[in-house]
Amino acid sequence: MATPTYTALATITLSSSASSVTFSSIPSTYRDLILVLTPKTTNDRELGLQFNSDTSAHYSFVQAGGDGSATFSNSSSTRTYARIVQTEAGDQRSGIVQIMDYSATDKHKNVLTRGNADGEVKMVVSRWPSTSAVTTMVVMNNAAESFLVGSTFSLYGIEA
Amino acid sequence: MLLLGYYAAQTPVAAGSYDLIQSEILTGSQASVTFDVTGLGSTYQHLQLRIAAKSTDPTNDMDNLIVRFNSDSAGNYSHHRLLGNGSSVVSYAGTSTTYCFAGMTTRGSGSTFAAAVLDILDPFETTKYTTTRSLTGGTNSSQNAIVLQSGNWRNTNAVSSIFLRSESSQDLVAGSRFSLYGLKAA
Repeated sequence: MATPTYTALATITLSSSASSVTFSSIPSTYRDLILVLTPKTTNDRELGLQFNSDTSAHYSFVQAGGDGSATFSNSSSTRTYARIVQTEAGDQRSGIVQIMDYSATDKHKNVLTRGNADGEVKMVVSRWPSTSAVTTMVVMNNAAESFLVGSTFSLYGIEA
Repeated sequence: MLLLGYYAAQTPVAAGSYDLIQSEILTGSQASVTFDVTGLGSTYQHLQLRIAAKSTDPTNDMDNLIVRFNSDSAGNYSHHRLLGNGSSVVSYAGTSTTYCFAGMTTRGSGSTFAAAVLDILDPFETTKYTTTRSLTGGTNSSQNAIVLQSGNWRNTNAVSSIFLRSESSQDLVAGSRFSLYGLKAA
């Protein structure tokens, strides 16, 4: 028998600026999480997710995209966060982030992202190399710059 | 820092529009996974597979995950792929192929799996071909890949089965997860 799914867990639109946004006490009862975000910062910033307060430089990512005249792809295995979207100075950007098997204890955590920023369209996969279930998730950027008023972060749970 | 707690009052976005139909989590290695979707067309318009996959070759690189419909292994598929490997972007296309692509797998030991979200559009319509689109990727010790891909099955029959295996025909390992969701029409 089919089970209804896709549950809105938390939505916040910033009414004052904040350097990061934290989702805490995430229940383990879902299969995947989806984060839909429309962030805005003063300067171009690389955004990421940090899980369970892990700030070690062992997150990996690979991304690819295009800007209308050229394509690009790059990667790293030593980030301190799971890379997701990028913001462009002063403009609202967007992304849909799939956090797969976030509560599984036999898998590292994959994060699949489609987003746009800086005159680009891009896709990213990142990995948190831990088999711990995700219980907290911080949305941050690579300069601890504030997310501006109007930035929105919506977290959904996909039923297991 | 703004701290947000988990909201105890959970509100489904639209109850019953996006349903979990079946989830297969492998408890041992097996060659393939098949979903029987016969008759689901009376309830659902589209399907989505959410996947974490790993296969058995110990090379610590990545492989492709293929999909076939209704046991059709003839040259009735086509696909397009845009792949980033960390240094360049490559575009692929295939016509009259014997499968299209669902996602990727990682290969090797350990806890690293590849992820995919595969949309299967209008699989039960008998006036159009079945279209697939997916975002997939993973990072492994010797290879990274992020891929946006689409495909189609050039047959107007309603989909009754969905078959998945690694392109290299290596077993899918324990822990690989395939969750099938249905999306209803309004």
